Amino acid sequence: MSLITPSHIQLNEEGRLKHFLTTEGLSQPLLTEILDTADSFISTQERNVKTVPLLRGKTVVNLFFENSTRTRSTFELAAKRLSANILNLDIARSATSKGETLMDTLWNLESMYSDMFVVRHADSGAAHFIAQHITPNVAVINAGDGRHAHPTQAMLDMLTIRREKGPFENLTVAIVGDILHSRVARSQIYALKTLGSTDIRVIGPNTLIPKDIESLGVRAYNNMAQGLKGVDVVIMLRLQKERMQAALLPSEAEYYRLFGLSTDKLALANPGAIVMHPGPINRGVEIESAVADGPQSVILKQVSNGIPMRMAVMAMAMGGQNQTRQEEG
Amino acid sequence: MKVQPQNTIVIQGGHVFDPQHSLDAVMDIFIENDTVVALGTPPQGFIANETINARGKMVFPGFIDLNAFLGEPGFSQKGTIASETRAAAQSGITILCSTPDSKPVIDSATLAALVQDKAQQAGYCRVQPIGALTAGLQGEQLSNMFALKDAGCVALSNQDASFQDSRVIQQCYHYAAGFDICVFSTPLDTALAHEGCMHEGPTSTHLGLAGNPVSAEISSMAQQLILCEETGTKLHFSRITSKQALDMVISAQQKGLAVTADVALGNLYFNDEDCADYNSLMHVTPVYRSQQDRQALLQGVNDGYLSICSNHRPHELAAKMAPFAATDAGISVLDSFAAAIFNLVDTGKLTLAAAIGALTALPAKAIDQPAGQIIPEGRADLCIADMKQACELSTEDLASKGHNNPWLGESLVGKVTCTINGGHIVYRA
Amino acid sequence: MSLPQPAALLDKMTRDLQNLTAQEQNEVVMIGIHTGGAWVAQQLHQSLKLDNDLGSLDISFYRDDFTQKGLHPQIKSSTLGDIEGKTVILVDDVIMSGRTIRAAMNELFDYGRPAKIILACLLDTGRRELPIQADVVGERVTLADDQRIKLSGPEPLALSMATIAKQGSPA
Repeated sequence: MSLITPSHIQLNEEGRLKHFLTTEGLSQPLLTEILDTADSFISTQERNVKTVPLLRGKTVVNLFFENSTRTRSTFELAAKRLSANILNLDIARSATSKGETLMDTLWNLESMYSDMFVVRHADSGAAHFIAQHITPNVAVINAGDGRHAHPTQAMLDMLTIRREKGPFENLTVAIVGDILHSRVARSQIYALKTLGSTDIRVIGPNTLIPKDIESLGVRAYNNMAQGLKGVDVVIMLRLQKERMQAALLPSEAEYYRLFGLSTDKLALANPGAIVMHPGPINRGVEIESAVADGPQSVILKQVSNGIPMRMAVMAMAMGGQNQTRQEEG
Repeated sequence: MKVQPQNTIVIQGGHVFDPQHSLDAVMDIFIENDTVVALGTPPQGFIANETINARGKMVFPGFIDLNAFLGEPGFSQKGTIASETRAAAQSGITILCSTPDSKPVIDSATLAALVQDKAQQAGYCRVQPIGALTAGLQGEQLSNMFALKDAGCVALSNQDASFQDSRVIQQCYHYAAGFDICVFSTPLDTALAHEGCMHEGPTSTHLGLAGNPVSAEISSMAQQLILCEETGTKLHFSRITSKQALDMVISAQQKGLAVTADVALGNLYFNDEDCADYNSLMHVTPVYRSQQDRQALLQGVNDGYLSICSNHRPHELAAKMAPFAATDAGISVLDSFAAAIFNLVDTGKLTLAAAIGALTALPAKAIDQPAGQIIPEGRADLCIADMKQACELSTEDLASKGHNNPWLGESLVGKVTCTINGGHIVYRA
Repeated sequence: MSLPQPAALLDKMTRDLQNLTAQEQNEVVMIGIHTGGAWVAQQLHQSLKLDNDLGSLDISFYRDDFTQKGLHPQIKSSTLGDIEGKTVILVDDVIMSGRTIRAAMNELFDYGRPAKIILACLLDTGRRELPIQADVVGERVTLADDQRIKLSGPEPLALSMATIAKQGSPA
């Protein structure tokens, strides 16, 4: 039986994006094109009129099954800056909490004739499921599905790395924290690999590192000092408080001592190493305030790169859908 | 004066194959009412009312399926005894062991009798229910084990439900052993399984799905083997998934324990990599494990250690239409059961003798029934198959209410063309 | 047909632009449209000895064929200085249907409000689909239906002719 993975269904016949579900399986030229497109959108954000007419007349629906004001608002702003109409559906608070299935929600939405769904859902594979079952010619952008992928976050992180540190081939990158539960980490790892980074590390306690992580092409470290040696980019992941209750970690204190990014620990990385965090940051839990606010931190740049990156993938996916629709007559 | 039998059948020219009884030759079979009266030469004065031409085909003992969910009572949108036993008959099954996890659970004699009666009314195959090992399958209190056995249950199990603690398991085994009751067990330490919806491995990591490690199966199996030895229970491991589990079964048998085991058909076909596109048809309980595990289980069947059961679990469409982990686990198997196994023989993955043994002699032994055999004076439970015929099922062809069948649209070589249950022709292609 | 030499065309355009802007009161700013227009603009910016930095414009986000063709795979960045109240010399290599220029003007106005726009093109191949004309043209050429003219660069600039398949017309 042949597999129809998320990597496959997100590309149209010409190999252009028509959904954006995962960074996995996308070629280096395509990932580079996403970065270049986002770069172009950065210049539009710096001028007076920040909108472009690309998605004029299109309707974008934010389908957030998990709460997230931050991510949702950046997508909303990105859609508006592409001149699209945007509708926010916080499903967490509406019908599905009354027991309506995901399929029924989708069928009800079909009557709204939208052109694009931006989806965040707690189940891995949800964006893939939606892309397979909605009407054709509707683009799906994955804003995070379970533990599987968060491709727009990963790409804005790649954009930040490229702008701050240059080409990926010679970069050593370390991702620190709760890799097990992180969709961002998985998406970052696939992107880094494809873009050419050969030394990708994950650092954390065994209980927070998935068993077969090496199959993704990374090396796992329990010792942060060793793991940070020679590193150019340090990506800190947020530690959720619930992990302390689930027999995964003893205490915040022990975690911070071993894996928190303090000024001392940062000094073990290469001089000029940049510090990143997908946010929101837990000061004093995974990262010292001085580091988060310090000269090596590019956390705020990540935030500002978020809108151009989302504009880029939304424009590309809509473009890919347009192409397909044209070909089908 | 001899009373003329009402129903006489001759099956002509078929290649009769029952390895258990060293039958492997072309010969005729003569049936009177519900009994096979002769093989090869007809008895004196035999007149056939019905002749079945089986030239070019194989004739096997009727198959025995050790684990199938029928949906009735309680889940009529998923299946009914009539619909699912009809699907079973089309796969040559003449004895089907239904699972106890209906609604209500089969933990009373009345319900056990109900299931058997309904199956008899439908008339497609005999259903010999597996009753609940604990009351309500809650894993806390012993069920009325003797009454269930007395009412026709061939075994008792907790199906996929967990036990409150290991003492309950021990007490259940101890009690059952006292009455010679066979216990079916699907070993799983639920805490270690950690709500994993698929095998824990590179694929689950890459898909971001919670994984169920092999250690969850084998640590529970190890504990249950110790309790089995201690209590002297007749224990059958239902639907094992890993090489290590198979190795433990083999060691236990070599030690002299009365332990048997089966594997679900799906685990001989699929492994964890088949989940890579979040296909909900790969969401099953117990899970599909690695390629190596699958190869080991195929070898286990070939070496005569494992029966093959269907692990049939039909579902309505909506139950499988959701992101992977949110779907109901299970696949609809019965319509494709025989064809898929014959296909494994055709592609050289299983020997014919091992496959047939896994469907007849071995399961009969597991439930301690005189079945799965073609012998004079034995019950006329038989199936006839064309091993060369390729067939592809589409949704319209399915007898089961569940369309969650992963073999739909696949061309499988080998097909049952006729099934005889107690001398009645219950299916003819 | 024989293609003109870019160098000669650039000389003519330089002279024409000098004449046009001789009485210009506003500050003059030159902006080239990627990719060919930017190459041409680079030469003109030097030969006119303009003070203000050369700007460049990528029109991918303003094209009117997004619905048919999707987003162009090679997008470059637009870099403009302040154009508010200035005279913009907008430069492109070939003007044909006029859609590129319309897109470029739409985009320019999202950056600010220029006092005036002067359009300078290396070649005018006719075949307008919109009422847009260049103020300064290197040379007018006539093409057959299936012919297209292409500028390669940036060094050296050279013109070549290509024959296209039946469908598809680059703007």
